[in-house]
Amino acid sequence: MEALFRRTIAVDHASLQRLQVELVAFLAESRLSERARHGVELACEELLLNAIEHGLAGRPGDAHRIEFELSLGERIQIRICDDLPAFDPTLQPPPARAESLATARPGGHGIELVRRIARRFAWRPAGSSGNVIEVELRAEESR
Amino acid sequence: MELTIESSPELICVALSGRMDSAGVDKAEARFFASFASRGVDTLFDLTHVTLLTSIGLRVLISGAKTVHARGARVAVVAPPGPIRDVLEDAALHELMAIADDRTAAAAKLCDADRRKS
Repeated sequence: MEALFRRTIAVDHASLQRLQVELVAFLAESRLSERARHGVELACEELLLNAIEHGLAGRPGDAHRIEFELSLGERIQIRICDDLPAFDPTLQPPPARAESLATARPGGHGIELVRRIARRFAWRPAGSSGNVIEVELRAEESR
Repeated sequence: MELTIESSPELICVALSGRMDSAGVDKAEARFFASFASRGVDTLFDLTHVTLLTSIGLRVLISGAKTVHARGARVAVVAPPGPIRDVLEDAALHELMAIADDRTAAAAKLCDADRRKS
């Protein structure tokens, strides 16, 4: 049987944190493994933070909304829709491999982490302004 | 994110627990850096009881390791097999610093690094 978690939030950090609290409670009721739950929470944070911090590019976000949907069945699927300016996160290149700690960049790992746990990671524009991101996780597989 | 610090003249162990995500890091980042940044002592970051590690948590961890390294000390991370260890390896941190299953093994890896240098 499929379980569905769907929330629509404002484009700000406080709204993301409220969604995350509800998502943790939803996942606690699921039969997902620890690794799968971690994958869902990781993808949620990375993709929603990306939308909040880069989608608005400093513009006020009051008029915008993000819809987050998690579907748990035979597959673990996440769908994120927003009405923000078009931005394709799947095109973001992986961070450059550092030679040492001295040259390592602390940031820029978020999208690559999603890519590493995803069986499918796709973006498409939504109408004249907006984005649809679909992720299917492969987190149930052992590593 | 919560942290517990155990400190001796030779080694600092910073045990982190809970969520190393945007909300968790906000609450504890300043205390995290204050626990080791000024000392220049070998440091273990113990992630055994971390339940979520996202890129924000990674940023703090890498910045912390760079701080220790810049002061001439060594750093190792404790992370048993599981999703937290997966994130560290996905970000290729195992190529930059020692990662071990437990504190004893992590401390031994620091000693191994010493022997290789001498």
